[in-house]
Amino acid sequence: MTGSALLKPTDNSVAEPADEALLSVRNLCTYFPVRGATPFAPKRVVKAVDNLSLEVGRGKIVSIVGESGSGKTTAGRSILRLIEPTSGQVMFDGMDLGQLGPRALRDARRKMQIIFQDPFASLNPRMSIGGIIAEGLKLHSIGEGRADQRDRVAALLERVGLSADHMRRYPHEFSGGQRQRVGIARALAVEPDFILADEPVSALDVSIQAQVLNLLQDLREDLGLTMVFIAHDLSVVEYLSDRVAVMYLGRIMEIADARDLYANPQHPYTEALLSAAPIPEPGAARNRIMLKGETPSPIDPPSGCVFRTRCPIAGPECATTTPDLKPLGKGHSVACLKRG
Amino acid sequence: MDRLLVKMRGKPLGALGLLIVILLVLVAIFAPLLAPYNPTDPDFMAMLQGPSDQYILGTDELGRDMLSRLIWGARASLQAGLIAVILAAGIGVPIGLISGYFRGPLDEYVVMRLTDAMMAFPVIVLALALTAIMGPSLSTAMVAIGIVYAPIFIRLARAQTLSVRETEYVEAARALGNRHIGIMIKHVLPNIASPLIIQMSVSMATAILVESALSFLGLGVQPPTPSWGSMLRIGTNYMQEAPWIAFWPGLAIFVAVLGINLFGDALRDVLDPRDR
Repeated sequence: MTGSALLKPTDNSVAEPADEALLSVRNLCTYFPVRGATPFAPKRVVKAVDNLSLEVGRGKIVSIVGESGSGKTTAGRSILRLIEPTSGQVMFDGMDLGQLGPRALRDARRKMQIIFQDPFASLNPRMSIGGIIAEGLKLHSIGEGRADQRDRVAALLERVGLSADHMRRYPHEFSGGQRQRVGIARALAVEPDFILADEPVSALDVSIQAQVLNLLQDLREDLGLTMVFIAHDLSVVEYLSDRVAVMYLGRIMEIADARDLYANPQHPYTEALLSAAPIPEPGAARNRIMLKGETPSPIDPPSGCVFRTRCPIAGPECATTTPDLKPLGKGHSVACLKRG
Repeated sequence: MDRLLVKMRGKPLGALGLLIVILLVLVAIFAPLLAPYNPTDPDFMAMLQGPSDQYILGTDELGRDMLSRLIWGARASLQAGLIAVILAAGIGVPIGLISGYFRGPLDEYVVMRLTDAMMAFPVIVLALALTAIMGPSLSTAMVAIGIVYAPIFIRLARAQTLSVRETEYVEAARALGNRHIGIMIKHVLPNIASPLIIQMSVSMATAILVESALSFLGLGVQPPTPSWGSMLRIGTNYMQEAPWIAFWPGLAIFVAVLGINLFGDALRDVLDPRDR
């Protein structure tokens, strides 16, 4: 990975509980240069992902939650090297993904797959469902011959709740939920160890969301999948995740075991997000924390703590010091000067 | 291919287009058998004659049989249209696809600016330059048209590729471990094909007309070999006394262009799985 002096991030490693991690992300930064109005304008960068560190244990689901523009999607793509990160290290199953050459990276992709957000954009409209699912099998020479590959595709279709007859149909003949199942089958076809789910249900109807989430949950249990689950909705990931990381403007604000985070949020941003979730109980008292204003531009983020402009408890020191993730014990870390 | 024909049945206009194209191609291939006279043999006793029993479509200014010239002219005109456009697409689509897929400074500052420069280049001037090198002939004209039309395909293929490369299915293809070449052929090309097919059918029609202009200037088919374009141009000199000389090649060009466009239109629909 390359990084010019301009793009160099500050180093602040955070110790994470390390129990046989399949995926280990250290100080991952992805900066995008912004083209100025003239060639002489000062060069600026968007820090889409800034200093992200994350450990995902084998068989665990870690969720990354954040609002639009928080960098969670870029973070996921950078982990898989679908976007080239600016700096940092991603260790996957003992391999340093950043060091792999093109060929080795293609081979490694078999072990890490991705499920996309938009089921209408993620399937090639000119390929049949069977062709879409079989593509990975062909690329990685999985299965013995065409007949075996067809059997595998049929089994995969049934595994995700579709029928083997759907093989010859085309994506436009399916609903959003069905397409998302095809996308899941495509990811599963190459028998990956790790799946990145990038908001896999946010484009679906609420009734379909639960079905797809249940499917993912089943698959995880049956196949022992390790997952990073990206969402913009804390309530969606609550029952699915082992750990949850909350992102804001490219940085992790708080990371903790799921139960701990929901019961005992430490960061004011996490508190605000949790208080915004509706409680399915008529007349339940809600103590909503309303955040002021909008997310600042990532081209020109606030100095010090990026959240300070909207933080209800910010003090003067927050404008000068950038908080690092501080461990609070039990795997709970928070990036806030006022807390922890 | 079977399925393709079945689907064609549901499109009477497309089938008509296909029929016209096939018919014209057959006429061009079997011209020696179909033509009643030698198209280059003058009959000075029967100059500028109207349609008659002897000469069904009449004769031109040198008394040559219009029907025979029309049949033989299909060869030059269809070749000019087909081969020139296949050449143009063959040059343009790969360049546009690769350039748009990888982007970068090479795409923006080299390929696109050269394309702009070529688009500013008049076909006639290029044909003149090529004639100086290759000598005047039908193949010179075809190469000239092919080169001049290539930038259209570069631009179209590039523009379409730019939008397709950002889609999630292309990203999914990368995530599966495809090579770039595999993504371009399996995922990008099929999704940019529709406008390219339409452009090819439109370009084929205009290429027939450009060939006629080049022939008129003596840069294409050399007299006395007939082509519809050269016949049309000569016919304009005799519009008053012998309008059929211009009418028949004009009608032939019209029918050919119509047939190619109808066929191209239907082909695009048939190749789109969403229309099944």
